[in-house]
Amino acid sequence: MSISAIAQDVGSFSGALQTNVNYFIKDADIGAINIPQYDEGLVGVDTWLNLNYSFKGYNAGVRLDYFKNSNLLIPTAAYSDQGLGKAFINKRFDKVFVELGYVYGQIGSGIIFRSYEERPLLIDNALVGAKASYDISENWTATGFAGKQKNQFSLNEGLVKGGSIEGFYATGSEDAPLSFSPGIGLVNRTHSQQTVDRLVNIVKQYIGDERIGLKYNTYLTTIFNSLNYQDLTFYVEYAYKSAEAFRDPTVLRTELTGQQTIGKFVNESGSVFYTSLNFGDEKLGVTVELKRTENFNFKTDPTLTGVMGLASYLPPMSRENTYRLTSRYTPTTQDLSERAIQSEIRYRHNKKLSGLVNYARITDLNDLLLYKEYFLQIQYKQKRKWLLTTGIQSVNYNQEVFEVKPNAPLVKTITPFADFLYRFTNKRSVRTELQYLHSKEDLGSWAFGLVEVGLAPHWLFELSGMYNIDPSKGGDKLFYPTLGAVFNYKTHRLGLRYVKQVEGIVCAGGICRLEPAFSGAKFTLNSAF
Amino acid sequence: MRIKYSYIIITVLILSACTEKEIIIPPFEPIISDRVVLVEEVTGVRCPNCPSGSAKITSLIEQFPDQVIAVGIHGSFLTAPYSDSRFDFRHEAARELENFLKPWEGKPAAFVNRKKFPNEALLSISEFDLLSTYVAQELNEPHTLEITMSTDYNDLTRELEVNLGIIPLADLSGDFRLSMMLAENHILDKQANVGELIDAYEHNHVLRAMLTAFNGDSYASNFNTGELSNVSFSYTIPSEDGIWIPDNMEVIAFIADHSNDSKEILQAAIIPVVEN
Repeated sequence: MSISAIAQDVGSFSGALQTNVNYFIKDADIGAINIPQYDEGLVGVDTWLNLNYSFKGYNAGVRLDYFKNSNLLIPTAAYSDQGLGKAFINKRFDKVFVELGYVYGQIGSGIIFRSYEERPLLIDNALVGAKASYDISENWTATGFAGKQKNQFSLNEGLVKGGSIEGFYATGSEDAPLSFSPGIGLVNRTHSQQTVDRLVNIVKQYIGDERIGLKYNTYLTTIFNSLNYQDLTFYVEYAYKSAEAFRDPTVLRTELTGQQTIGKFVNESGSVFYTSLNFGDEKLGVTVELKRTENFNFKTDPTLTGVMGLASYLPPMSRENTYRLTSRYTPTTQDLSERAIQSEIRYRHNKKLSGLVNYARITDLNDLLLYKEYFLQIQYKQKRKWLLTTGIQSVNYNQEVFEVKPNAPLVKTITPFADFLYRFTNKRSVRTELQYLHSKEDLGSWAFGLVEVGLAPHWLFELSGMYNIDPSKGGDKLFYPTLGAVFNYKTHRLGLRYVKQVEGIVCAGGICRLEPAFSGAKFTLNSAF
Repeated sequence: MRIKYSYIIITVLILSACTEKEIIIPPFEPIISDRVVLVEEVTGVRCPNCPSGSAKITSLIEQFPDQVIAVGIHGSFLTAPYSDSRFDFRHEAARELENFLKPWEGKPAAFVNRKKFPNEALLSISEFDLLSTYVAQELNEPHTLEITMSTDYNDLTRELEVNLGIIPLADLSGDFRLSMMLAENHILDKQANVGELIDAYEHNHVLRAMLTAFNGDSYASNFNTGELSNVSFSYTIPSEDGIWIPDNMEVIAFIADHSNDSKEILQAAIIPVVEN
C-alpha cells in the first residue's frame, strides 16, 4: 500500500479499494445450483473502500462497504447491504494513545480477545467503542478497551470490556541475551437484557436437571510469556473463561415430548493452554506447538450462529497449505474439545537445497482422531534460473466431525506434488504445478495441473484444471478448469478468471466453512492510492 | 509496583464474578392467544441435523398446543432419496417453496410466520432453541384474522373438498395471499442422523402438495372487520402406495401479507383430511 502525501501542511491522504465481482453460471453437473445467484442469474459484488487521513499526529479513516447478491456472508444465500464498515480516529499524546470508533486488537495470541477482519469469510468483529493505552515505562504498556461488537452494519448487544499489561525484560550477557515478554489480560462481557431474555426462554424449555444457571457477566483472563534466548523462542499462554451459557452440539437434551435430541446450552467454564517452541539458525529450524482447548466458545452473544459474534481466536494447529490439493482437507479449529500437536523441522543444506518436514495431530479430549498430517517438502534452486519444489503429504481427516456428515469414513489421502518455476529472462517466467490426491473416500482421487506464465511487470496468465480422476462413489469424472489473467500496474491489480470449483472447505486462520461448488467468472480489483 | 497493583485488581475482578447472583428462570407459562403460528422447516432425508430440528418442532407443538402448526418442506438440497429409500418426498411445489424461502444458511432452517426477527440476519432461523421465543413473540401480537376450515373427503373417489371461512378482526390493507398445503404424518423411511442412518424414521408434517400456488393465491387487498369471505378447494388425493394415506393427512391454510417486500403470515389453521 502506498501513501501519497499531498502536502505536509495539509496532512496526508491514502486509500484502498477492493472489489470482487462474481458472475454465476449454473452448472448442475458440478452442483453449482440451488443458490439464488444461480437460480436467478444474479451478479454478486463485494466492495470495500478505505479512506485514511493523517494530520499533525491525528489519524482518521472510514471504510465504506457495499455488498450486492454477495455469497461471502452465507455461501448459500445472496446478501445485499451497504454502509459504513469502519470509522476511527486516533492520536498519541506522549505516553498515552487514544482511539475512538471501530477498534481492532488482541490480547496475547488472541485466545481471550481478538477483533480483526478476514474478508474471505466476511469476518469483521471490530469493537465499536474506545481503546486507550498508556506506556507505564519504556518497556511496559497497559491497554484498555470497551465497546459493542460490530456485526456487518449493526451491533451485537453484549458489552465487551477488557485490558492487558504487556512488557519486556532483558537480561543475560551480550553474547547470550535473555529476554522475557510477559503479559496478562482480562476481558469481561456483559449480556444485554435482550440476550438474557432469549437465554431464559431457551432454558425454560429444559426439563429437570438439564436446566442450567445463567449470569449476565462472563470473565476471561490470560497469562502469557515469550522467552527469547539466542536462537530459541519459547511462548506459553494459559487462558481461563468463567462459566457461561453456550451451545454444545454434542450434549443430549430431553425434549418435552420425551425425545432425546443432540445439542443444548450448557453452563461451563473453559480453558486453553497453548505453547510453542521455536529454534532457528542458518541451517536448522525447529518448531513445536501444543494446544489443549476445553469449552472455549466465546461469543458476544451465545445465541448467534456460525462465525457471527466470535470474540476470541484460537491458533490453528495444522500447516497452512497453499497448493490446491494439499489444502483440500483442512481442519477447523475446535473450540469445545481439542488436543493438538504440530511440529516442523526445516533444514537448509546449502544455497541450492533445502527441505522441511511437518507433522500435525489433532484429537478431541476423548482421543478421537480428528486430523493427522505428514508433510515433506524439498526445494532445489538452480541459481536464479529455475526452482523445483516437490514433496508428499499424507492426511487423515475426520469428515464426520468437521463437515457433520453421518457415517462418513475417515478420509485418508496421499498427495504427491511438484512445482517447477523456470525463468527465461528477468521478465519472462513459466511455472507449472502437478498434484495428485489419492483417496478412496469422499469424492475419490483427484489430479491437478497448472501452467502460469509471467510477463513481468504487468501480466500473469494462468491455466489450470482439477480432474476427478477416480470418483469413489461411482459418479462422473468431472473436470474443473480455471483460466485467468492478472494485470498489475503500479499499485493496482486487476484479475479476471473463469472458474469451475469443486465444493470444499474454505479456511482462514483455522476458521473454516463448507462452501458450495462455484461455476462462473470472477473479476477482482485491488487498488491503493 | 504498579504492575503488582494491576494483578491485584484483576484478581479481585475475577473473584467478583463468583459473587454475581444467578438469574432466576421462571417456570413456563402458556400464552393466552387465539393466534395460530405456522412453523415451516426446510429439511431433507440426507440432512443429519434435521431429526433433531424436527424433534424440537414437535416439542414446540407440545409446548403451545393448538397454537403452532408445523410443516416440513423437502425441496432440493439434501433431499435425494437413498437407493433403498421407500419414498421420494420431493415435488415441484416443495422445490419452488424452498427456493421462495431463500436465503437460509443450511438445513435444517425454520421460519416462524415467515417473519424476520430483529436478532436474526435472515428470515430463516438456524438456532432451533430460539423458536420458542419467536413463537411466543408472535402469539403476543394482535390477532387480526381468523380462519375456519372444514373438509369433506370421499373415500371412493379420493376427492377432498376443503371449505374456508376467513373473518377479519380488524380493518387491514395489503397484498393478502392464501396458501393451502396438504401434509402427511407417520411416514416411516430412511433418514440421515448425526452419526447414523435411521432405517425407519417417522417423518411427520411432510409437505405432500400445494392446493394453491406455492407462494399463495392472491386473495384480497383489503379486509374489513367482521366481513366473512368463503372459498372452496377440491383436490383428488393420489392412490395409496404406502403414502398418501388420508387418515394421516392434514390440510393447512394460511393468509400472508406480501406487501412491502414482506411474506409475513397473519394467521394459520389446520384440519385433518378425514375428520373424526
